[in-house]
Amino acid sequence: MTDFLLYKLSHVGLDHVLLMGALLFSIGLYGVLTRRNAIAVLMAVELLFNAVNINLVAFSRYITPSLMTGQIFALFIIAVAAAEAAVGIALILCLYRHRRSVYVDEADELQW
Amino acid sequence: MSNLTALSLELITALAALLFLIADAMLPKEKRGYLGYGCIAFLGLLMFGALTMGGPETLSAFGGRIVLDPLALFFKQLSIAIVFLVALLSVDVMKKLPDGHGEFYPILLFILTGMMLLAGATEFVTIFIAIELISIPSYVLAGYHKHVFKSSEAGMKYFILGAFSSALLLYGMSLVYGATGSTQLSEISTALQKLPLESPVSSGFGALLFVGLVLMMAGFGFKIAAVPFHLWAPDVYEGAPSPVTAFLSVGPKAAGIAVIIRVFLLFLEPIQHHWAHLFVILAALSMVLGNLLAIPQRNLKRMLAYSGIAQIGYVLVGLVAATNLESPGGTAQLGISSAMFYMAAYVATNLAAFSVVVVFSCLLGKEEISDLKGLSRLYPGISFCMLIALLSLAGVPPLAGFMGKFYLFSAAWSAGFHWLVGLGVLCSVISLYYYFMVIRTMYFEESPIELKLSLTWPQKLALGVTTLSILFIGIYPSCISTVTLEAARLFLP
Amino acid sequence: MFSPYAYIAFFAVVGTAFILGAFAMSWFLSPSRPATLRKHDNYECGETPVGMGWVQYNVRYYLFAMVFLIFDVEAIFLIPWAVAFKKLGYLAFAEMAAFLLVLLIGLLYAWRKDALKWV
Repeated sequence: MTDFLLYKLSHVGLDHVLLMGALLFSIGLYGVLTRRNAIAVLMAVELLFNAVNINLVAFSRYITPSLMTGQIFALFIIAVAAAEAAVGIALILCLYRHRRSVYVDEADELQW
Repeated sequence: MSNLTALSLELITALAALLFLIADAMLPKEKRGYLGYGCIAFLGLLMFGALTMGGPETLSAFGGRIVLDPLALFFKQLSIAIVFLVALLSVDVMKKLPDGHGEFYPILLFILTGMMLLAGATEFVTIFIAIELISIPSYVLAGYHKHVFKSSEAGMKYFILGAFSSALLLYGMSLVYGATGSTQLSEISTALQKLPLESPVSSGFGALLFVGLVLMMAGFGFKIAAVPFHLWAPDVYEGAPSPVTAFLSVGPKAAGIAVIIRVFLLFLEPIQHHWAHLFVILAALSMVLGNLLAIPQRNLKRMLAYSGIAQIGYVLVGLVAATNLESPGGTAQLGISSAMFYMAAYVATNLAAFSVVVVFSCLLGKEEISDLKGLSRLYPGISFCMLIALLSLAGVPPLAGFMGKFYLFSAAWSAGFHWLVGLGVLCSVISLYYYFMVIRTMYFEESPIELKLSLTWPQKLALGVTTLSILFIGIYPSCISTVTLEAARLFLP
Repeated sequence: MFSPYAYIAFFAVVGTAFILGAFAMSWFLSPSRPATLRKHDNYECGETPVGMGWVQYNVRYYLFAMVFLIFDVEAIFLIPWAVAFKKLGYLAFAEMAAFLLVLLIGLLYAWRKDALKWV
């Protein structure tokens, strides 16, 4: 049993990592589509970006091990996602100052 | 050492943006109003510089990650023209804001840097950075009137859907990278020939590639607001400040079309029978739904948002015409050239229409179609500009929009998409209805109030330049079409 | 001999055991005194807390957090550059200097716009 577990643990393949990325992406997708709280939506978007990062690093490790392309791409995504989050929080604060609420479904002046 | 001439326009613009940022921080408050005029002057000079650049040769920098070819140069010039006109429209609106109007111009210049970078980017990381350099400042601009609830709401909605679409695009890029082992478009293009693509489901890499392509298409589709990825557009256009709406209705679309042409039609051309059908669907849906949903609109900006969705459908027809789905070979150059021509005509036309909207909403604070009642008697000049713009959007000869549609539909016809051309013509006829409703309100209804408008010189310049270019492109189309045909020479086999 | 993951498992077990051990030790060794009201305070020494723990934090903290976030995350570009500094040479140094200059202009802007001031 222990031998089997150790074997399993030491042979993490590309498919395992991709599956994890896809799961994370799905969780993020679910969060973006169902959450009412704008902060929670922002967090779900960050999950989406992190799922992409996992994918990129995994591909970089298993497909092009001699090149760092995927890892460099992931670095850029982290930096840009931080900028995006800062702008997002600023916009949420702006909305909060008007309505004292961060619920996206209460922002409903723009319909038809 | 890289060849930095390929990047000169972007570098100059980025430097100027930083200088404007410092100037905004250092100048005393009462002098910041001059920043707008400085920005206009800079953009005028940049336009002049960009027009003198050129030549058929291709420059490349950073190991082929950025290129400067006629295709990129065309979209760079178009981007500068867009931002120049938007800066003209914004000066007087931003002056009226109580605080912080100086930030507007550095943000605008950063967006311009992103648009020009995107036109020449040939690698995924560069494309991603360029797209975010357009998107993130655009979220800020959409929410720029921070004391107006509608504007904050528009910024928030644009942010959530924009970030979501960026994530989709990135996920797609990561899968394509995994399938082909490179982020450089040229290497991806060569790797595609080795993959066993004929049975995509049985080979894992093929499946990765196709899921990635569809996700990338969805990401780009969000940026250009093509149906079914258009849901953000009407809300954001209505809530954003009018000059920003003017920018959003043309800027991201031009940049998005540039990158779609480069990624899909230039480098993913070998596997076009796998993705071209999806573009046909996007084009048809955008034309039909955009035009039908524009009919019941009461708000001018919302109506123009749906009309913009329809117009991007027409541009996509040009891209579809460049594929050889129906007829093998020979139409790529014509299709791309017609799409580029239509994009230029659309930029001139839509900015003319938005100049009127901006003038109107800046001076009166009104944006409903019914508020235009009797405009023609009080202001024959402004309503003439609006008339020309709307007729050009509808595709009435001899204006720019007509020539654009003529080139597009003839390219699509010779490519064998007869039913799509029929649908496009039908949609143009539908669009006549809602454009004429606006014209009727302007020319055949009595004004309930006496208005008092006095235009400033930037507004007059913007109205004049756009209206004259609609007429000029319509009467003398070869001034643009020779350039677009030259740029589309890349697509000759 | 062992796979790298075995070490992680080993560390997880040892770490958990160590924490549990520390708790068990304190439970055995500490003298037992009856709980007083004082003992249930959030902070046994220092300020006496006022009100609930679930308060809304002042919105100004978010401004600082945002400014911090931006400058903090940009450090991820510095680390790979610093690690490979000797191999990269002067061009990379100039590029990084340009990058830092841009960041510095951002900081200057934040300072001049009073984003760093508690207003």
